Amino acid sequence: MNALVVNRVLQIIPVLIGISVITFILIALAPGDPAEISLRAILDTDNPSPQAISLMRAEMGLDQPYHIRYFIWLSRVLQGDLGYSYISHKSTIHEILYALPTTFYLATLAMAISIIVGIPLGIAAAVRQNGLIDHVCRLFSVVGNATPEFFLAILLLLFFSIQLKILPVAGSGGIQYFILPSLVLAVGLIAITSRLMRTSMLDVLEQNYILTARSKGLDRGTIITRHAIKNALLPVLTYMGTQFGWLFGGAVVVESIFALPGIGRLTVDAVNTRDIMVLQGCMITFAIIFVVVNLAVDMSYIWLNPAIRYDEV
Amino acid sequence: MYYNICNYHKTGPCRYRDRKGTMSIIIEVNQLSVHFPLSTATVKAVDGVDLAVEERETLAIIGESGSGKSVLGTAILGLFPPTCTVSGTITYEGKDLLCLSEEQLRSVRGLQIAWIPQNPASALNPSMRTGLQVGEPLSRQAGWTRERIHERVLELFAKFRVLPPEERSQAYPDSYSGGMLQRSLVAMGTSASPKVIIADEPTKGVDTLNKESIATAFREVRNQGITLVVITHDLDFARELADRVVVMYNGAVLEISDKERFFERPLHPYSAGLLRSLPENGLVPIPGRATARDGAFTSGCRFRSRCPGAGERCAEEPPLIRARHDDAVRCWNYD
Repeated sequence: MNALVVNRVLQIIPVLIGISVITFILIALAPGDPAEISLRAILDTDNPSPQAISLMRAEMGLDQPYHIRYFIWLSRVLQGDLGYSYISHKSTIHEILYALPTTFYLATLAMAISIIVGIPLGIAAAVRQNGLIDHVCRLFSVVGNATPEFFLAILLLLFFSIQLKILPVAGSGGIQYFILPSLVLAVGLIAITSRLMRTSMLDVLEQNYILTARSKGLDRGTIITRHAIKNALLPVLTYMGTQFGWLFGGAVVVESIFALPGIGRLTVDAVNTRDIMVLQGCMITFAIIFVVVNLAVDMSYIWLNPAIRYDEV
Repeated sequence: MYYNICNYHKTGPCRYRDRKGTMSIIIEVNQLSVHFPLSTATVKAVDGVDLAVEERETLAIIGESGSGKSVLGTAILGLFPPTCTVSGTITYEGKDLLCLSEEQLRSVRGLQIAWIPQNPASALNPSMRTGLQVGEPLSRQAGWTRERIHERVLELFAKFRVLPPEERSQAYPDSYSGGMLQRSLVAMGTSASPKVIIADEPTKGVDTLNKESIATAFREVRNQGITLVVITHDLDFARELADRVVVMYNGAVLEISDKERFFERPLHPYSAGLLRSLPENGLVPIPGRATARDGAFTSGCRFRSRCPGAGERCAEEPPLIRARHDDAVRCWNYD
């Protein structure tokens, strides 16, 4: 099993290198001169002077060829230096570490909501197949899946913040600032999780070992809790795991709407001001989170499915 | 009318009661039909089966794939696939199992009538320790604590040679070999000391050595005085274990014979064909193919289209006819 873990961890390296190359190329291909766009934000003017622009180009290293720029950046990253923001002049690591807890909190809350709601919903829909819960669940998943996040965010804001005035519109602070954003993120995830859990449950309930359990005279409740749920969770958990990374992506939109100072908003700001080092830092952070989450999912497989426990047997 | 239980009893009225003096019937299946209505045709998996299982005997139900023997086996536990229609009666200790509520059936399953499923690899929950699964029938009885069940499971594992018991009981099913898995299924079936065990294809996909160890396990079960119904297409296994042999074909019983007499001189042309197809008897195949699945069978004797001696009379389905001693056969040759 240790070999399995080491193998998985080593696989992270090429993935991260690949992602860094792709982000680098995408930033290089983006239209407009990064130095000029940055200066507009820094100097708060529409037309920065040509001297300032050429100085800025030198500072950003834009006068170097692309591949040299990449390797300079890579060598600094390997030394633990992600550069600094041209706007705030704080180090990228500082910016990211400041923003990360907010997004992490948001994503975890959204994930928790979708697990708490989605999985029992899926189980209930499968156990009472074609019953009321099943139909409600199906309707919810179609609507939930089809509604864009920004639209749902605006609806929830209008209702809870403007009409009822029970939740803040935007900003950060206590948990009340996180309720609406995490709800928005959770809805889409619940929609898919519940359907996936339902399908997986129905599939498991058809398995031979369920018939064996019935032949032992176990009651339906015991069969479902003891024999079905754990086996049905496996594919759902994989999906949920990959979606945790996706939640960080979804946070880009949601954080912008609700003015939460998370990494999603940091990324959007960095794109708008062509704050290249911060942008690359954010991308690498997203990549690391995605890869680490997938690793955690693989590890949880081992708990759920003993057949993958290679050397323990 | 033709395969009516009355016909059977007319030919041999006191068939069971006086056999070996003390024998009594523990399970009686009467006119059982399990049909699957499909859009094009109705698949008659079990079609008017009459069968009596005697207490403490080992009864082998043999037949090809698709003959309905597995459906018959699970029917005795009151377990039916969701889409089927069921008629007839299955009497166990004076109660018709088909009339019991799910609650009442549960008190029979595992405790009175246990089942040993086929395909051991998929018959156990992959994410639950095997020992827990083997002891599960006991957990439903009062007074069985976790520790006591564990003790019992270790005893059973030792008895059925699932070794070393402690380690095996903690392991998950995927780490078992095929033979060992099958033996732990036997242990599971016997764990709550049921009166009857129905075993579905216990030797399917098992090599000769493991087959011997499984046969030993089943002999052990038989020696405990448990009534055994072994569903199998393995004639050697049936010969080794059974007291009586029931031959099923296309959902119906074609022959019920004493084991010795069956292997000496089978009654039905189909039984004779089965025995001729054994390697030691020349590996002669039965011409044609079973028609249960494609629904080509409509009326008359089910084996007619493949039978070398089929005559005009076979257009009408024969009843079960008493042929010799207590043996019965569904063939006009013995009328």
